[in-house]
Amino acid sequence: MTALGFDLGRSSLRVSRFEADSPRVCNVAQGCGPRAGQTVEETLLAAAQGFIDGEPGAGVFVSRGSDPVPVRSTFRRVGQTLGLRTSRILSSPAAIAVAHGLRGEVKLLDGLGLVLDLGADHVEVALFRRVGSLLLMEPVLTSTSPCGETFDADVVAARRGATLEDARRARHALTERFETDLSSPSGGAGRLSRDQLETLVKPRLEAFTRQSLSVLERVGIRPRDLNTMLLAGGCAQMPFVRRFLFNAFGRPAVVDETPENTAVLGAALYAEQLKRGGDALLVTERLSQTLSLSMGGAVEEPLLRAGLLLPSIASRIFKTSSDQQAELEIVVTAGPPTRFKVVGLTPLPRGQVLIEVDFLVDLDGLLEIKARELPGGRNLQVIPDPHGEPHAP
Amino acid sequence: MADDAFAVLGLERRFAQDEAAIVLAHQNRLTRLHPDRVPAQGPAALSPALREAAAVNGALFTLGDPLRRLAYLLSLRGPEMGFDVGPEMGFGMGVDVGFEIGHRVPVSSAARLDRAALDDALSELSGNDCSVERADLCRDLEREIDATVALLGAKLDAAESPQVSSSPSTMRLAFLPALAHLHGLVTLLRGHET
Repeated sequence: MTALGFDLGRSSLRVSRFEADSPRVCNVAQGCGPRAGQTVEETLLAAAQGFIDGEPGAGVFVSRGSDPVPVRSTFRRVGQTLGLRTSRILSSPAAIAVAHGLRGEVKLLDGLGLVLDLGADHVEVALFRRVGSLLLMEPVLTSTSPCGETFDADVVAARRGATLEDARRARHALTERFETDLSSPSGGAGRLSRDQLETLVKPRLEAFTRQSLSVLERVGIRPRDLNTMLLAGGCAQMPFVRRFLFNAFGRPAVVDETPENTAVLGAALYAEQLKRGGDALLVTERLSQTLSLSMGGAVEEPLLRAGLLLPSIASRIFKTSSDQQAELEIVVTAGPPTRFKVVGLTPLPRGQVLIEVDFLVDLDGLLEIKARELPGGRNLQVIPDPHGEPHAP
Repeated sequence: MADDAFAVLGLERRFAQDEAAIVLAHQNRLTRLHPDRVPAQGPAALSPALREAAAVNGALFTLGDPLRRLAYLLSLRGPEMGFDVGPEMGFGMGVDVGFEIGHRVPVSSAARLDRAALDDALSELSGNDCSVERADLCRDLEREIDATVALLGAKLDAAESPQVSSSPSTMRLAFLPALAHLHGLVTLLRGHET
């Protein structure tokens, strides 16, 4: 059986596979990001086919803080289409912590730690705490990357003739060299030095660090409370970024040689653990958005608050409001409203049918609704109703 | 209804709790019941495992915070209260009976604080220059709330003891107004914090 990890960024898709008799993860496909006209689902399916040999086992998808529920539902669907016995979604900070923990560096996860996933388009910061085998994740913030695409845009604005692609290439080149050509064939935009790069990145990095520290301070955490700082993502390759964060947090950064792969490696390692039924690290994340029940109009009743540990469950009892009522409409909001219909109610005068509805958010942050009639507990069918009449605002 | 939150975490049903013990009980149970252990057992095992783990997480949410714990203890003695202090975790759920919040038995000074006056005071201090004064006021208020919750909790535990024979509904009536007021204060405070 195969254990796969998937990390779909905006410009790249990484897939990793746990090799049967070796703890190493290989086959990382790079530069095969979503093509024009291809959906997320098609991209993932096309990439995954080549990695599955024999019976599909487990798959773990890395989710970015900005991934809305529909993207996560897509991950779930892709897992089903691939025939994976188990699929799971981990936030990128969780996947990064897992990568270290399941590679025998579990000591790094002792005490309170911080993960910074410094991607090209956005960064995600989270705290973690390991208690025995439980790995509890605590999101700190998600923001635009201080050192990736914003840097590219800064370069384009400052240098006539340079394109975003030129800037991106130069950014990569400067992780190893001290100076590079900004644009290759056409020329004209001149050369860019590491010093110049640092001057451009520094103010953004300062703002990002200030913001992170202030969020941490609000929850009563000072840098000296942190035992470890894990860095990953493409920007973590930049020596300047590592140095800067070391100075800001006072903690040496733990970084892989290819930090852009750390998250997908963690995903594959976790998939392997799920496949084997192991329990060395059990990731527990939190609900990222409050889930409310829309009561018609603008009235919303919170069901499950952001920050609750997953899985989480809430129950509500509804009463029929008309005679012979056969269906009950439920509108749940976490951002955009999602409609569900409970069907097959016993036809009785209004108020005589009680329906108990459970709202369960699973480990992946996806909602599952179950309903039963009271008394008796007959299970009722719940169907998603995407075409329901929109509520008046 | 499933086991109550105290039973889920294996704790004695009373207000006075060692909060570190609540956290520890949660961690032990979640480690044992974590749904990521289950996939190898097949998909059929997943749903009950998720529910069990959700109940454990819900119990921590309900009992980990003293005000929620207090409200929950009262909710165990009768229908749902007319306000939400977060028993939304599958415990103490019932049909909303629209309980009317009365105005009796304020228990300590925090419960007597005038909410409207406080709201005004906090709003007045909302400019950047006043951040220190505002933080001070918020901290004072928080301390008052904590002290009052502790006092109410102790009274509730005392009233629950076998030596005292007050009927559950009388007891609820005595506690609800103060609790509702406290809840109002907490809501106010959170509103000003964000």
